[in-house]
Amino acid sequence: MEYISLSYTDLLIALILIFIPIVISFQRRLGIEKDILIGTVRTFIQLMIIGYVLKYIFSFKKWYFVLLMIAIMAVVAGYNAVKRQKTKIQGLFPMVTFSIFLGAGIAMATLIVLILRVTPWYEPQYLIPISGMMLGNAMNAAALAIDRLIGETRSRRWEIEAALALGASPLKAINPLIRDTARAAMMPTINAMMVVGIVQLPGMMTGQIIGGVAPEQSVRYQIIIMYMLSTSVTISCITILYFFYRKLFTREEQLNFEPLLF
Amino acid sequence: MESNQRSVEISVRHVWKRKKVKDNNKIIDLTVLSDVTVDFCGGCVQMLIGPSGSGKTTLLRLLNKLENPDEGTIYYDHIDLASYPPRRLRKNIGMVFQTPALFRGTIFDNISFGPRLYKENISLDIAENYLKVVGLGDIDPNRDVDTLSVGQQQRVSFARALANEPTVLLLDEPTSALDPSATNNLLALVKKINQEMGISIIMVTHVMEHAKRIADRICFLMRGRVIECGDADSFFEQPKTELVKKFIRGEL
Repeated sequence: MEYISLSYTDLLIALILIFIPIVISFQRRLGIEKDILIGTVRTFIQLMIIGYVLKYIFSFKKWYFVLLMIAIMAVVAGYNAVKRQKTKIQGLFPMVTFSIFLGAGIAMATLIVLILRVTPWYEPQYLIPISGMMLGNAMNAAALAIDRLIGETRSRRWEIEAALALGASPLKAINPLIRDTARAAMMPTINAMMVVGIVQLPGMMTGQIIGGVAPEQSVRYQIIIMYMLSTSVTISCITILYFFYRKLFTREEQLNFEPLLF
Repeated sequence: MESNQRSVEISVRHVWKRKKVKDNNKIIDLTVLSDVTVDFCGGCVQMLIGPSGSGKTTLLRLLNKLENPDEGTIYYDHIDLASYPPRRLRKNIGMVFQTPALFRGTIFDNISFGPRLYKENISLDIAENYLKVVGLGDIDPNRDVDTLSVGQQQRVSFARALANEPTVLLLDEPTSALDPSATNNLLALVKKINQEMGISIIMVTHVMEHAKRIADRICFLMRGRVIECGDADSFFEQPKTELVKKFIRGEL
């Protein structure tokens, strides 16, 4: 099987698809024409750049270079997860980045060592795109987990203080909230496993099929990806929660009200 | 018994507390306690009374280190709280909050929570005993706390605090969520806990009637300062300060 390669003319024609929302936004006074335009341009520039970057990486096959790329992606993911928080918390960035990297890393290691067994192991064609998926999902889950734990703590403050007042450690006091938070942050990934292939076909699988991969092969990749996502999301979530909860307490085992004020 | 014959259990010396609070979406610094010096006697019911915003709840929360003072010293049994391990302190000084703040699960889960922290597994019988003390003797400890009324829940939170066998119990307006008859019953319970179990009570309230009914000693706070402390009788009959006279007349 072959795939149709796209020319710049094809991309220009695709702008019709952007033209329609702009017209609707203008006519319905949604006021988002400017955002649509910026988004259109950014999509073009960012993806064109990454296309050439990937092309370069794929040709420059050095393990340290591939790992460096993944590390950069993890740092950007960590930065994004922190930026999304309404509350500014000191020292959040390194712990989020580590949690995301750990979750994605364990899933990736399993894939490389046990499943793909590709040579060389750092084959960027596999590592880079799949790492991106793992990091992106881990980032969303970690960001959601932090935000949610702050919210839970705010609304269940008395439960925590009641436990502290009985002599519980901060961890013991906040553990039921951590459990609820982890559950909520992991649920989207678990739910995705329930409906995958029924409600929508995942992007990677779709891409492979368009690229000429046999459907029965592309679904195998997708199955593994789904399993990997559940690992990477779970590990990132749990790791960040058990690091982060400490920020909600003082050294004297009191609730720290500063992150809760906002 | 005169208060001066009682031993001092907790003493607060020149304590200041500032807090960041949210006001109209702005964070402002507020002085909540200004140079507070006060003694709490062992074995008695001592009330912190005053209008809202007087700092009485904050003062209470300093006593089991749910918060720390910015300046000044607090002693419990002659030990500076600054060097007292929080968990050990909180086992000795229990607390009941405005709302029951129960943990999800059964009554037994709640009552056994404290002892389990210290690796003591209490039996269902012991839990039932605590329920009896708080007047819920006819209720099954295996019931889910969600099935109880607020008044019953607040009693369970008393039982939960008592199961830790504290020597002092801090009560932060424990009746504020209750109706008048439940309030009356709870005040009687507080007095009973004090007299029959010998637990010192330090209770925050803004209701004078509560103080009149069960207090041995009363401290009046306003705007973060202790205005007057005294035995319950003399506090109401011979108030020393103009502010307390006004408060008693209901003008504050």
